[in-house]
Formats: sequence, C-alpha cells, structure tokens
Amino acid sequence: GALLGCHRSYRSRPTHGIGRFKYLLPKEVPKRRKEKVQMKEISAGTEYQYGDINIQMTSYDLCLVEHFAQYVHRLCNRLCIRVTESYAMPTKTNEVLLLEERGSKMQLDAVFTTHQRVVQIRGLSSTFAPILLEIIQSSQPEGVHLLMKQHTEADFKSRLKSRPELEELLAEMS
Amino acid sequence: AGSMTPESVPPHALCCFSSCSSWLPQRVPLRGSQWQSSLLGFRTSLPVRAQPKKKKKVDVKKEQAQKERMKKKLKKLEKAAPELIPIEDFITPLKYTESNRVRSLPALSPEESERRVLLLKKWCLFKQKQDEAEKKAIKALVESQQEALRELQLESEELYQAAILRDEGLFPFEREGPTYTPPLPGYDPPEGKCIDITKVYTQ
Repeated sequence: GALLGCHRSYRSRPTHGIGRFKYLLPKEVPKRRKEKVQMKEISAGTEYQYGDINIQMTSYDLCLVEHFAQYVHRLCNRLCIRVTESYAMPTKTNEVLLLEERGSKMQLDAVFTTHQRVVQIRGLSSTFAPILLEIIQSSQPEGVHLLMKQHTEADFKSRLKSRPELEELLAEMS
Repeated sequence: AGSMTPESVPPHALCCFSSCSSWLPQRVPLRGSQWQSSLLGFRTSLPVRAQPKKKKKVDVKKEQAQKERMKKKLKKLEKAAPELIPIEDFITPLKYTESNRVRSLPALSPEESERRVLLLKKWCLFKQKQDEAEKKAIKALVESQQEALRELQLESEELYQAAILRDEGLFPFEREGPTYTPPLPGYDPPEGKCIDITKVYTQ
C-alpha cells in the first residue's frame, strides 16, 4: 500500500542517515550537450573602430596557407587585436580537362584543391588598420591570395550544409 | 425531338445538330447561348443537390490535415540545428591509417647530427632577427603615425577628427600573393575547361 514508499528517518536516533552513500561517490561531471551552431552577433563597429573583419587566405598549397593563417593569428594576438574566430572554409576540388592537340576528346590533366582559412578580428582601430595591412602584405607568401572584408551573415551561411527539404517545404508553404 | 417549327428552333438545338455530325470530344466547350448554363455541354450540368457539399467539407478537412502535416514536418526540420560542412583537410584518408608500414631511417653519424644542430641554431638566429626587425618596423610605423597625428591636432582640430575616423573604402581589400616569375608575355594557354567537383553536403 501507501506505507511501502515512505522513508522513515528517526533523526534523534544514532542510526539516522545510515543508508547514505551518494556523498561517497565521485562527483559526476554533467554530460556536455552538443553545442548548437549559432551565428555570433555581427558587430558593426563605431566611428573609430571597425566591426567584424574577415581575413580570408586562399591558396592551392595547404601547408602554406595553414602556416600563414597561424602567423596572422599570432600576430593579432601579439598586437592585442581581439580574434573572435579562426576557422577553415570547406575545401574546393577542381578538375582540369585539356583539349588534346589532335582530336576533339577532352583529356583529364589534373585535379587540384583550393584551401581557404579565415581569421576573424573585431575592434580594429581606424589608425592601426593600415599598419596591420602593411605588415600582413609584407609577409604574404607566394601563391596565397589575401582578402579582407567585413563579416556578413551570408559568409556564415556559406559554411553550413544546405537543406533542400527545408527550402522545398518553405517554398511550398508560402 | 418534338414538333419544332422552323422559326422557333432554339439556338442550342442548332448547336447540337451541328456537332452531332462530328461527335468527337470537344476541347473547347460550346457555349452557344444563355440557355446553356454549364460548361459541361448540352443537357448536362452539375447536380444541384446536397451531395457536393459533403465533398467540399471532406476536401477542406483533407487540405487542413495536409497543411498541419506539412507544418509539423517543417517544425521538426527547423528544430534540427544547422550543421557545419566537414572540412576535408582535417580528415586523414583511411588509406594512411590502415597500413602498418614503418619507415626505418639509417642512424646518423655524429658529424651529421652536429651539422644539423648547428644549422638549427643558425635558423633560429635568423628567424629571431627577422621577428625583431618586424617588431621594430611596427613600432616605428606606430610612432611616426602618432607623431603625425599629434602635429595635426596642434595644427587643426577638425582635420584631426576627420583623420581619426575609420576609412570606409579600405575594405574589401584584395591582393594576390607575389609570384616567382612575372607572367610570360604572349603566352597562349591550351584550350580546356575547369570543372568544380566539390562534394555537396546536404542535411
């Protein structure tokens, strides 16, 4: 009946709390839930400061672009520029087909990959920006294409997987 | 049918007679006159009784049910968080992890190891000098800029304020890396095409 569920603890008795054992077990670390990919707020910056700026480095050579991205990140750390994010964009693969000299058949010549790394900075002061540009340009390695632009939502969306089902449903609904 | 005097032949009967000869299914329904009220042709029309109303209710309910199903599906899809495209650079291909090949290097002679250590030290010194030169350059640039701004402020406050403001035309800034050799003049590239075969990930 109802009496089976009650826990009778006689607090006056010396046997109070005799069955306790949970305090002896090691503290359980709460299971970390998978962090949702959410876009961080894009700051517009003030009159004397730039908002979020993306330094995008593109190249065919992976090691070169990786090392250059690390160099730029460390440079910003050293110059006390706040680096909000430092990530890699998806790799693009290209196939080059060359026309044979005698014949109309296209022949596969090469397959190459294009890699891109992005370092996002915030709060760059207007007086220091040209100096930073100068330093990065002077240490730009060969074959690495540098692009510095303001961060937009479209840039963030390009990192996400496309959802054709969702888009189809949205198109049907409206 | 019936006795019809030539003067009082109704026009829709005439239509019937004209189409009787070629009783093929007509694409365009004959709407001869105002007597022919429905598009379904001669002597046929929608039964005007309670039956079609039930059909309409069922249709509406079906439509509503469909809409709700679609909304539920949409909610479910929207609940799933968007995923980032996996970066192929950071995923080592399986063929490099499966094999158990181990490289066996020859033992280094003491002269060789000595040479390598000395080379490493020289490289460290070179990089240190390079880094110090860069720091010096940054410091010099910043100092000269600050001095110029101070002088400008002394000169005119307006110009100083205008100089401090951020430059909208600075970004976007694009620059190609330097190349080993300049482009060849009069180079005729072979004909061909470049296809993008990047794998498209969908959620």
